[in-house]
Amino acid sequence: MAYSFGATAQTGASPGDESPSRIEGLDRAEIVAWTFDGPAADTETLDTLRKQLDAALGGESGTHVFGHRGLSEELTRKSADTPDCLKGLESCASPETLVFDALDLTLLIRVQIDRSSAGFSATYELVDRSGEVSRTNNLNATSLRELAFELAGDIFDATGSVTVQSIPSGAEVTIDGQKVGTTPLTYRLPTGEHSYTLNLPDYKDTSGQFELDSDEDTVIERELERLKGIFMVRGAPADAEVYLDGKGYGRAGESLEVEPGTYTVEVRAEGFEPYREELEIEPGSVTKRDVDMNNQRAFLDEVEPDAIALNSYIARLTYDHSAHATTFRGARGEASGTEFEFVGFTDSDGQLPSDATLRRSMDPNGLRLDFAYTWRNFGIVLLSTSYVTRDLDLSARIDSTDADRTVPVTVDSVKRLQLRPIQIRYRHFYDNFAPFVEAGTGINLQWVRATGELLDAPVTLYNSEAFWTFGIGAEYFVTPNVFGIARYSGQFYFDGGLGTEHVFSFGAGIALPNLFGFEPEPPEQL
Amino acid sequence: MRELAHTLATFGFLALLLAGSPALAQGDGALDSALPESFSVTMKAANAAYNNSDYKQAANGYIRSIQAAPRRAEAYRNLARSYFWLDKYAAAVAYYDFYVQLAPTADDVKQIQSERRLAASRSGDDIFTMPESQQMARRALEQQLESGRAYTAGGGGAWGLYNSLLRTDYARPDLANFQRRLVRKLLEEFDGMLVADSGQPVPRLDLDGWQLQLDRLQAARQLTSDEGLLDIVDSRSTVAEAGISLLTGNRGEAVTLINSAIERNPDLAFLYWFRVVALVEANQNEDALEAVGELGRQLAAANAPSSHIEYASVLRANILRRLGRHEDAADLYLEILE
Repeated sequence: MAYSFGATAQTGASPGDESPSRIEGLDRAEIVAWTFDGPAADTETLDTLRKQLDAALGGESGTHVFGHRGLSEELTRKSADTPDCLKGLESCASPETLVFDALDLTLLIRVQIDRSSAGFSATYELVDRSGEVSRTNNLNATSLRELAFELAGDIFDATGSVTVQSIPSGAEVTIDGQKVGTTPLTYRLPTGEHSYTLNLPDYKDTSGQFELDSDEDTVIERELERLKGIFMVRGAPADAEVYLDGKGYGRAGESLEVEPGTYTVEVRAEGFEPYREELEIEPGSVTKRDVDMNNQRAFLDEVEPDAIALNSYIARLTYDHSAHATTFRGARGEASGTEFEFVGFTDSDGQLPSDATLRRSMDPNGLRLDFAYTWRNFGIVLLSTSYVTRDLDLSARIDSTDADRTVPVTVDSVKRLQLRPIQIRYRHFYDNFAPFVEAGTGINLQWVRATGELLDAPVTLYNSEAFWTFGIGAEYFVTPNVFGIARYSGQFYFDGGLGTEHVFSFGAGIALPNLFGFEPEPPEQL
Repeated sequence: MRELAHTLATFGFLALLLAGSPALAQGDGALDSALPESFSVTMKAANAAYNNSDYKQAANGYIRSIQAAPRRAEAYRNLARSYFWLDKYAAAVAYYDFYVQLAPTADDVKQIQSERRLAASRSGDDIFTMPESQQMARRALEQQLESGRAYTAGGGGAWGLYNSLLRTDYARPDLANFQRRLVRKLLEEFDGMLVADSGQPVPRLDLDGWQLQLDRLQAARQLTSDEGLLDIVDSRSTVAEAGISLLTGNRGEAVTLINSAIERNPDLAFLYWFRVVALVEANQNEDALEAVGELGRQLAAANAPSSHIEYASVLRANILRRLGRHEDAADLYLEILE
């Protein structure tokens, strides 16, 4: 069988699932070094043997370097790069490997020459890149020429050349369990089945098998698959979705397999502000992110109930607007020695209805000021004072000590001072929003002014009535100290004939922890 | 001088008076020089925020200050006061306690204790507990310090977990222990990476690896203000820089950096290999020949494995070949091949 050596690589026929192909532009001429030794290795014999080997190896594009002289000549051609393994970029396999690399050798052939009864005998060792002897054999021949052809045939029929290439290059090549170099790599091996593995950091290990034939160069080209990165979002709400560069990838809390690279990560969850971050996903590693997402509820913000609850002293000022259908029955007054008493409102005919309980609607309005002391939930409204007024135009009749009959008048205003000395209150916090109820008693002091044609001057009538008050409302804290308030309260008069007063309040309040400044607080200025 | 400029900017006129008293100004500087620079910067900003009644920002600043210098008491006191004004009384109590624990003989301990009492009375039943995020982060860091890596690519490892812990606003005196342990671990890991694999003449580190080494030192530098440790960090930095310059192909610079790395780290034998490689790559072949000679003598003296001596022979042969001494080179190559 003719040996083919250093020829331009032919299409590699190779079994296995990979489909190696010829690499365009790759033309790595092999360099084979021969060294000679032994009892018969005198200068004359060697010279002849070299010439015969030249002939035996003729027609090959590979370079054969014979011994010291050949090597010296070869060295003039170019100089060697510094070994990567001495820069720490890879492991040094052996000193032989460094020499192989320095000389671009693919094979070293050590030949031991002796004379035998038949003529000459040669023992050769094939040494590969790792410095290991991969094959050894003993040959006999009658002449040096025959020996040269025996050697060439035996060696090059028994070995083949494999070129290993990877995309990207630089992968560590292991053939038959031995590290032999990094891609791209041309390597001479005994023929037969071999296995290889390519390792490159951040890429999946790739391995396969090939059958090496002495006739043709086998070329293995593998595209390495980059390792994916694992990305995980923790601390997000349970149903949060993870988006990378705007593309949905999965849920938070799951391990997501992601192509390595830089992404804009976005974690979205209903009711939360999205979390965004630029992130680099490294191949083959797990990237975890703890995200802390802000609640998006616009109405409630970050004021803590705990902080609010510390402010025990509360003052509130509200605008109160009442709706009250009532009568001023029982209001009395005096003017210039004459006493007057409200009898009742008159109907459209100017007549008093028979039961004298006819009520008229009015809506006095004004301000209310409260002081309260509160614990977290329960509290006491210590004093609540409101002053409300209204101009009226209601026809009524009043009794007068000066007249036998009731006098028709027009009620033109009402002024009320309402005091609620003690109310119990209860509130519940929804973050910084606190609905509350309040209940207690109060007293309504009111002044009603009446004018009429039969009166010399307007008369002011006064009375006072007690009521139950029941309030329901809510406070919204802007800070732990400042809040807005809205409230409805019903004031139920003890005297049922006076009806129920409906009071709507809107206003603001302040809450303070330390009203009198007695306690030893930290300095406000350092 | 810079210290003075800071002070001038902050206190204006007052500083002019201080400047008149150099001893005082110097005393201040000496105290701060033992601290990370970030401490005084964040502390000043936080104090300004406090005086501006922005307690939230102040608290944040004090947390950063504590993280920069966990054994300095005053940031704890100021943080406690910020928490007080933020109505976080239970937290305030805890930080008043840290202050007293760190500075038991401070002048203001009495004042602090009465502030603490008020805070305690206001905190009621509320008990300050370490947030779960901090507990988890601390546990993770402890585990990693115990049996993990100090620094991995992308800023991970114990260093990453330490930073995660800081992000949870962890600010306690024991942070100093974590910092100390982490610096030690970082330096150990740095040196560990410089140990060559069995039978190898030089440690196996690619450019990313060296960059990571430099990052390790950078991390260590941020964690300590100890002069001795910083000196080690600086010395080792020259090694990482030398490694990087060797691999980035900045030949002339590599030779200079490797020489200074050898000078500061005579214990690292692989640097002598690097020197030869750098000289060859800088095409300073005569110097390289001399350096490989010295390397050979050192290997012999250190009883290096024969493979190392042969590696040096290959280097020498490569140099001889560059010098045109092909016969000598061939001798050396063949010596190994035969």
